[in-house]
Amino acid sequence: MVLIVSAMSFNMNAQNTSLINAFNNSYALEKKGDFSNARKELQTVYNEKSYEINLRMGWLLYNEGEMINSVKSYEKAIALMPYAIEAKLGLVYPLSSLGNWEAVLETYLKILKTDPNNTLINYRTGLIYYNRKEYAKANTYLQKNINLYPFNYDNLILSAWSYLNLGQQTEAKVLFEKCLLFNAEDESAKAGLKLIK
Amino acid sequence: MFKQLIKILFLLFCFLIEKEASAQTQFTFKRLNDSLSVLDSNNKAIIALGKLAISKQVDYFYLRMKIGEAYFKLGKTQQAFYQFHKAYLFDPSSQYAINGMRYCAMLNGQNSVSNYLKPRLGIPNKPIQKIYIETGAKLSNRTDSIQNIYIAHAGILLNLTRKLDTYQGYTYCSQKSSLYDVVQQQYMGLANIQLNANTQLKLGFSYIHAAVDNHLLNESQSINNFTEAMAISKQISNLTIGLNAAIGRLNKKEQWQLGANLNYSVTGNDKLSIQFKPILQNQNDEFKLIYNPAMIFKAFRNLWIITNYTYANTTNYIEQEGFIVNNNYDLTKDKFSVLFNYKTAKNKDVYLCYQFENKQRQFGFPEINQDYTFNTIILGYTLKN
Repeated sequence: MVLIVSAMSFNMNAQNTSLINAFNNSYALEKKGDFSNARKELQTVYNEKSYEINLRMGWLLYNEGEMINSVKSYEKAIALMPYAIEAKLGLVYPLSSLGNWEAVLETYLKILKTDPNNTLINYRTGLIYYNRKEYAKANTYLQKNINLYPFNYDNLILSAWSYLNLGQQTEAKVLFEKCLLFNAEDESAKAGLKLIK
Repeated sequence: MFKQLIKILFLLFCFLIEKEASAQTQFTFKRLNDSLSVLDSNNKAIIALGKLAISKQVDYFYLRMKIGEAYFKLGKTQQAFYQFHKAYLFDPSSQYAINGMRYCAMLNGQNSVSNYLKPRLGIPNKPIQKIYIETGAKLSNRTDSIQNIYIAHAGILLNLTRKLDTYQGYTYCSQKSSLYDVVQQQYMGLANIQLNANTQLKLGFSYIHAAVDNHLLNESQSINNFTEAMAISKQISNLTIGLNAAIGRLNKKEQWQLGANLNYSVTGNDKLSIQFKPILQNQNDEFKLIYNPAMIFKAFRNLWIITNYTYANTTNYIEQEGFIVNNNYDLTKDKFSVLFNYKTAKNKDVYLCYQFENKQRQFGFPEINQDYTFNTIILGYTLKN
């Protein structure tokens, strides 16, 4: 019995060592820009139930330009850890490269269900809605950020333009003026105020 | 031509061989992308390759745009619209996808789709879209008992919002004889509601007033008729499918009808389409089946010809998915029509329609059937804004 346990423990240690080595070699190859071999290094120890391997494979495949397979790898990682935000943040790289912005938005909304105050995702979601000319929706996400970071330029300027497009000039003016406090020469804020006056 | 064919076959062969290979090398994005770049001017190969990729669940915005552009360059604007719409679903903010759809819709003659998309590109719609004027005569072969009918129609197509167009029309008909005079006036209101880029809902209402002067009995009669209609249609690539329903009270007879509409563009654009419209009608608890095949083709650069046969099964059913009311007391057995639509200028169309109609009059007690025919000539003018 003791022998069997020892043998299993030895086997596990050997597996872990080969996994650590594979990751280590993979990082070294990535640093050299050799993404293909960095991925192949991981394939030697590939385990479809490993979140970490699938996550890293997703990243390396994205860098190789293999967008479809990158999406598949990230999706496998997400299926293994459904609440993981990092895998979803990775997934949006290949999705946006494929031009699948609806899927990007869906991914952001899933992140916000787990982490409603994630400022990066709130800003990006606001930006997608702004580009779709859905200004009221854009402002919902931007205003969350402004409450948490009231003097963040990116949120202020995008929210100001959203208000202006919604015809709410008073709110837009206040925000454009705050942007000028951030940078008195800001061209975008000046252009916005010109439209109000 | 032969070289292109070899190139397409070679590429398809390469991808089919890969089907047998392992999952990772099966259908790589990079290889697909590289092949699409190489095939830049070979539109048929791009379409074949794109379809193969989609069948293997490789589907993304840029691929749909590429296939859409390839179809567009081949002049297949209906299939191009379908692909641009798929791309639009991947990225609803893409101006390229919206512009592709709008341009295809314009070339396909789908005004309400174009109106739906234009404001998304910052292009305002004009409130007055089209003005229609037409006049014609239905010439009877038995003028001893059934007189000719003279018709005049005027209508205006208005754009109210991005999703809503409306058509308002007025029709005047008169039939005079030594026995009686009939004057009929009809108002027609139609709303085209564009639910999304490829789905349309139509709602229609017609009110018809007929004034009959019977010289023999020396009495006048006033009849009020109405119909209500609804139709929904969806475009899937070069096939448009639709369902329609109409109810009406025509000459004191309650009636309803249900129909389907199938339109297939053979060439994938406005050069050749075939249509089939079966209708089930119920009037006075009697069911009748009506069918209506049609063909639309572009004969020359600016000339379209629409040929149409209707087996009307001796009814007076409501035509054109329920939007044209046949209010005559007499019944239609069948009819054949041919319409020539000539585009005289960018914004002006002239059309001439000839129709041969087998009619039946039912009168007396016991009922007697009298057959006759109408030869109809209609001349119309459309002014587009």
